[in-house]
Amino acid sequence: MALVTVIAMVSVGGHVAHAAPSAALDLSQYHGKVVYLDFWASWCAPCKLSFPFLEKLQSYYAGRNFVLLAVNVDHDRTKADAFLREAGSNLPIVYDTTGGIARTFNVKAMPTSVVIGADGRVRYVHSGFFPDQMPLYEAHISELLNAK
Amino acid sequence: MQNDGRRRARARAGLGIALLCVGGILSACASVGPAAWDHDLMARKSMQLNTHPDLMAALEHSYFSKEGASGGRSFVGGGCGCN
Repeated sequence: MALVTVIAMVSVGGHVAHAAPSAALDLSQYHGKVVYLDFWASWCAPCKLSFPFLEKLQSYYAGRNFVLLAVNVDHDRTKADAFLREAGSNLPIVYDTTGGIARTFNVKAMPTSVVIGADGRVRYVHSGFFPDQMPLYEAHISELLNAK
Repeated sequence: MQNDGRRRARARAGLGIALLCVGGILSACASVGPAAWDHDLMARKSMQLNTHPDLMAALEHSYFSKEGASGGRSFVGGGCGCN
C-alpha cells in the first residue's frame, strides 16, 4: 500500500510543476514519516471548509516526521488551480485527474483523508470533513507521530 | 458406473453454471452510481436530463396550450384532473 505509482502531476508550494506529466506518487519515499493524504475536489464544499484545517496541520507539524499531500481529483485541472488561487493555499498538491490514486485508496466520499503510519500502513481513514471532529483527526496524527 | 460418473459431472457443471449466474446477477448491482471523484462529470450540463430548459419550457407550453396535454415530468396538481 505504501508504494503507489500512478500517473499524476505534483506541485509544491502552490507552483505547478508542468515538467513531469507522468510523474509518480511514490509513497515509499516517505517511509518513516506519517503521511496525511487528503483527497479533495474544487466542486466539493466540505473540501473548501477543510483547507484552513489542512494548512494548520501543515504548519503545526512542520519539522516533525509529517507529510501532508493534498490529492486533487478534478478532471479539469484548471478548476483545481482556480480553487487553489482563491484559497491562497501553499499545500503540496498531487493531481489525480484520472482518479487512479483515489481508486487505489478506495475513496468513497469527498473529501477523504488517509492517514498512513511511519511503517507505511494505512492507519486511519477520515471519510468526509466534519469540523467538530478536528480534535479527533489531530489525535490520530499525534498518536502515529508519537508511536514507537 | 459410467452413467453415474457422467451424471455427477453434469450435476457439477450445472451447479457451476448456476453459481456463475448467481454471482453475475449479484455483482451486476454491486457498483451503483458514479465514483466519488467522478461527481464533477455528472454535474456537467451535457449530463443533465434537461440540457435546454428554455426550449423544454416552450415545448411544455405548446403541449399545454395546443395539444391539451401537460405534465409527465413532475408531480403537479392535486389529482383533480383540472390542470
